[in-house]
Amino acid sequence: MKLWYKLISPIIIVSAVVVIVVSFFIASALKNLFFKEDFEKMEELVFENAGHYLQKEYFIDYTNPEAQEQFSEFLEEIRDEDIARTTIWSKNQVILFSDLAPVIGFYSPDHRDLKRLFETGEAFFIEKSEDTNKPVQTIVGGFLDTYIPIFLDGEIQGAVELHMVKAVITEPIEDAIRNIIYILISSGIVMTTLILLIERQIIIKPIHSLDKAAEAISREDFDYPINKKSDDEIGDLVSHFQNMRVRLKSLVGNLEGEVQVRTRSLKEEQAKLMASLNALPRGLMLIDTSGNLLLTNLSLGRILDLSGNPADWTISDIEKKFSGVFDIKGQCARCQKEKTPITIKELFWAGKFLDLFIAPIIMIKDSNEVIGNLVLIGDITEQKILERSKDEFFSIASHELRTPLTAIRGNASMIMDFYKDKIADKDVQEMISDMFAASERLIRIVGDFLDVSRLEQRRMEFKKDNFDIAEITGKTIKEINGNALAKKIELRFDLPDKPLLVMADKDRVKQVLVNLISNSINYTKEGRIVVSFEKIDKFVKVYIKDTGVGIPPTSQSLLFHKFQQAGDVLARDVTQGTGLGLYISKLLVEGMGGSIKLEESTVGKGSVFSFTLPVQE
Amino acid sequence: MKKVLIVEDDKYLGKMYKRAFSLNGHDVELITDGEEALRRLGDYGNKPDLVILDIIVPKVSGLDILRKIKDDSNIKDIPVAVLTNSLKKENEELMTSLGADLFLIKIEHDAKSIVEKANKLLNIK
Repeated sequence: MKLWYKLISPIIIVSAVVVIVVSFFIASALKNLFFKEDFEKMEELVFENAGHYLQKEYFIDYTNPEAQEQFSEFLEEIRDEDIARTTIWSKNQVILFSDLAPVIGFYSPDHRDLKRLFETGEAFFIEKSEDTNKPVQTIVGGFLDTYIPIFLDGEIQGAVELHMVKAVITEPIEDAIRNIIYILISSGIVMTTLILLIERQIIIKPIHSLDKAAEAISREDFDYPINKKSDDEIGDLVSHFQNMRVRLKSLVGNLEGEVQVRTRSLKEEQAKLMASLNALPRGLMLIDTSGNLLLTNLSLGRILDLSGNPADWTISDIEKKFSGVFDIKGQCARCQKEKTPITIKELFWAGKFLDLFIAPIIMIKDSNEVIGNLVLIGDITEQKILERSKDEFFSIASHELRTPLTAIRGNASMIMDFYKDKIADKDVQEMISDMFAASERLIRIVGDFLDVSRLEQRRMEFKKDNFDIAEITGKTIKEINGNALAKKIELRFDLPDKPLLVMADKDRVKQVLVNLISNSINYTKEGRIVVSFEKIDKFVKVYIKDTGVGIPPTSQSLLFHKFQQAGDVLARDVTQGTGLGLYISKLLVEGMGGSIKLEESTVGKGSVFSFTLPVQE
Repeated sequence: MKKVLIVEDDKYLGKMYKRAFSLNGHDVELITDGEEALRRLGDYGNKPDLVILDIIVPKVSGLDILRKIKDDSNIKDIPVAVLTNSLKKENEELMTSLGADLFLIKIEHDAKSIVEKANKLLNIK
């Protein structure tokens, strides 16, 4: 209903003001009109009749009966039923004639109105209240005094004062005005009521109805009845509102269905995600930019020995666990600030070995902004133990295996050297000799395994000798020449013009040379093996070229790998049969700062191997 | 014909070394633990001409034995050949700094070559 008040009150106020103002103006105008008409009429009568009836002498000798009679007749012309009293004044402000006989001759020196009249020489009327002579503006009650000057021969002789009861004059005017006002007010009331009723029907009702319907929507009632539509702006609003409501209803309906489906699938996804995260053996933490813990998994709890409900774990629990050992807070902050991952390979904590990986989470698409960081913690204690036991195993094996092997070889060789005469039987001699050879081979095999183990764990120490590669090659060739000669293969090396000095471990270089040349001897039926040298930049390259059986392309990729298995046949390995020869050569050469490769090989024609060593500094 | 003292706890190796040196005409004594070795070396009247010392022997470590020999003015000039299976460079350096006259890696030498090397040591003397 407030709207109605808002609509009505301006109308009422405006109407009231209009009515009041209009009435006022009408009243004044009418009044003046009326008064003016009368006044002008009287003024004219005075003007017309003054010359006719009055003489100058009368104004001096006014007590003369003739003067009095003439005054009376003069006034007769002017007087009408509305005039209550007439008076004729001299210009000296003495009453010359009056309806009230006794006042004749009365002198009024302070008569303001007369003074005004004689000064201005212009007729006027003035309203007066009953009790005093003060001027008062009222419509009802009071008197009206009219003062008209009497001119004779252009000279003012006196004045006519006409005293009227205003009410008599104004009465009809005031009645009329009163009636007009009553009519206006009552019609105003009627109109207002009408307007009220109309507006109520046209505006208020539909709006109210819309309002109720809108409110119903917030209670999820989309079907609250709305009033009939009308054919105007309000009607348009109502009809659009209804359309909107229908749409909203269906949207909400769909939305709820959607939300349910989505929530369900989201929950499923979440469950899957959590299951995956919990299946990870690594502990996982997601931390936001304020350092709060967003996400964890079960492994984290297991590794850090966190108790209670995972949902209750906080970042301060984690910090407490690491306190004194690792500044998790600081490292996470640093990771986020520098936007780079941090890896801690090994951390000894609470009797375990851990490795940590801290990575920032960056919104690449939009702003390259860091929104947090990930922490992955792995328990590598078992790994570490395994490593250690591997180390221990090999060092024990080293000692334990080699000792009896040394005894076997040593004794066998001593028998061969010192007791040959005691063993006449050739077969026995051969057996002893085989035992010696076998034990040597075993020693070499164990040596290979130990080399591999040490090389892979980077525990091989390389001496830094400075020597001439050609010289060492010569020495080596001399030592293994026997095998070549036996197969009638030429084994030689190209002597360079000047010494080629390299910096490497002499014994290990020899080992590599023995490996490569022995391989060549083994895989060559006839022809030659040539070792040559080349200086390239800061390296010396050694080539071993043979005219052997060559290596098929399919086997070439296996060459430098551990065990080089290609089916049952080893790609290239000397009688040791471990398949480690080239692998060891590779690790040795690389450990000394060089590189090794198969330069080329053609089946049936031969192969060329090469390796490089750094030049002596 | 020299007196050779072998300190080696592995019975096969010990026997082998003893035989090797004997076959080469030396007078060999074989001791299998560190305590006994020190006692034997304390017998100044019967000093050996050469000590073949295994680094790892029971009761007293070969290192300590080496130290004791080289710290004892009575016996410090006896040549000592240290035997080991370790390839660690630090060990060789350590031994040499403690006064070892020869550093031999067992697996690299059979008995014959050990004897050869020992003879060289004795001949230099």
